[in-house]
Amino acid sequence: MAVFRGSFPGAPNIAASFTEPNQTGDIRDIDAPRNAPAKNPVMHLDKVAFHSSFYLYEVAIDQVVTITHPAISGGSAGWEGYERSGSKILVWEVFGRVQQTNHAMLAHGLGYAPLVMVSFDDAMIVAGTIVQNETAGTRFVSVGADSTYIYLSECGYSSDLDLPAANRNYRVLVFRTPAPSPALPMASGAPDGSFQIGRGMIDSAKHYLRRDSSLSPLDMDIGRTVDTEGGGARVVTGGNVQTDQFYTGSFGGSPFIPVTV
Amino acid sequence: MPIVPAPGGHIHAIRSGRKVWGTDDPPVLLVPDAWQSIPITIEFPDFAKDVAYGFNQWTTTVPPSTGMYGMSIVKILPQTTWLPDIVLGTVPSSLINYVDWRVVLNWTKQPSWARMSPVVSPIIPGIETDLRGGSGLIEISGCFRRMIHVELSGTNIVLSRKQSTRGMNENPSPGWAPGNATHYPSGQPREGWTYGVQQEGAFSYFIDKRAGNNSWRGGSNGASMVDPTDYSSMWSGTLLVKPGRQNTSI
Repeated sequence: MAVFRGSFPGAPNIAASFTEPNQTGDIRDIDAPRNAPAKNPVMHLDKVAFHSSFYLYEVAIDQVVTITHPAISGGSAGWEGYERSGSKILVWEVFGRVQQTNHAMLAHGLGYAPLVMVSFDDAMIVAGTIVQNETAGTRFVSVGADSTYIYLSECGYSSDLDLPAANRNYRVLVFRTPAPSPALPMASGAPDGSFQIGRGMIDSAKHYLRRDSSLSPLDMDIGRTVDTEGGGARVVTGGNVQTDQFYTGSFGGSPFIPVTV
Repeated sequence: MPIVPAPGGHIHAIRSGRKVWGTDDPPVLLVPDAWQSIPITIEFPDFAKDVAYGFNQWTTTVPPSTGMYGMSIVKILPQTTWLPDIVLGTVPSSLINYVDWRVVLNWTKQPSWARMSPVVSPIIPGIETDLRGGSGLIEISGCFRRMIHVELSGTNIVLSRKQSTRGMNENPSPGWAPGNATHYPSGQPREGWTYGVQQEGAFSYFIDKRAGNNSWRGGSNGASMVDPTDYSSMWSGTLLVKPGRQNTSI
């Protein structure tokens, strides 16, 4: 059975929800064996649902951002040898060109580089996610953050054809790094049903990333998501498979957790 | 306060009918006491390569003239390679089964251009980049890809690297010389392209060209066969390791 305990006399700043490993000792004694997950949560992670010292993915921003990816002009380049009359007698020709562009998706206003997840087409973006894959070329993206912006970086290549510009919609989830507020008690509630736990570490007014037992457009991958074979690449997130035109392997992805906010 | 008991001995935190979290669907937890930043250097070696050589000659009658032309090009051979894993550090508990992986990298040594273009990367230098599942495609060119992957093996933090090249069958003009022969049985130089190791592979970098007599492969006036390319690569930076736990329920 799960329990929720906090404000131990010997550890007033701890609040936790956990499964007791046994029922030995006083429930108000932080040193009691039954409270070991509260006292030393790292060694009892499989029994802890919440601990006031843990970080939960608290949503600060949940926003859809549209990015216009610029066209990449096609063409050819190479080396040629000519005979006297000007006819080509040796030719090596390469089609297309590469292009790299960074986009500032949004200013998050948090003052530090936050954890961020971005999804596209119901799949979480990996460094190297393919957002455009045509005969004319392919475009890859990744997500990053600094203390001011959330970034989307892209690189791609064309062929003898232009890779056309493309608009793509991205769902951007920015997560705050909360800190406990000394002004709040370990747990409190209000008549309107609002509550907080762990001096504000969990706040009922906020949203947190958590498991979702139903299918979800958001997933947290817990294993490898990228492969390369034959000079190409494949990205698999949340079971969604993307393959560029050169990939020759058979990577099927890894387990993932459907999540919601 | 709506911390309520739920079926199966679970606890739900409810607000206005919305489940904020529950012990049956616990939030994904990260453990700040276990967070760490690990300096990291990621190296990729050069590829196995050979040199493709194109040779042709012409004869005109009006005005009478003959000529020869040779051209040498670096060719990256088809290959897929998992490089040796590197243990970067450890996490404090075997119960950690989830890590939020981020990386801040700078490309300290870029590889040579390939197929008339620089090698590019979706990684923004100096910016925290998200590695979903621990993986990232790190280098992209017209003829190869490179990737990294970090994961836990027990409590070890392990870096894996993989690179692969395209197994192309190029079709340069005037075509590959039959039997990879630089000369006819008569001893006369033979028109066409020849290879060093195998025909398959991606033409990646122009080396040299020569016009005039003896400009066939290995001839006294032949184009240089010295490979000027170096496709090795190096990234330096920091791996941001935020371990935690994902429980199905507790």
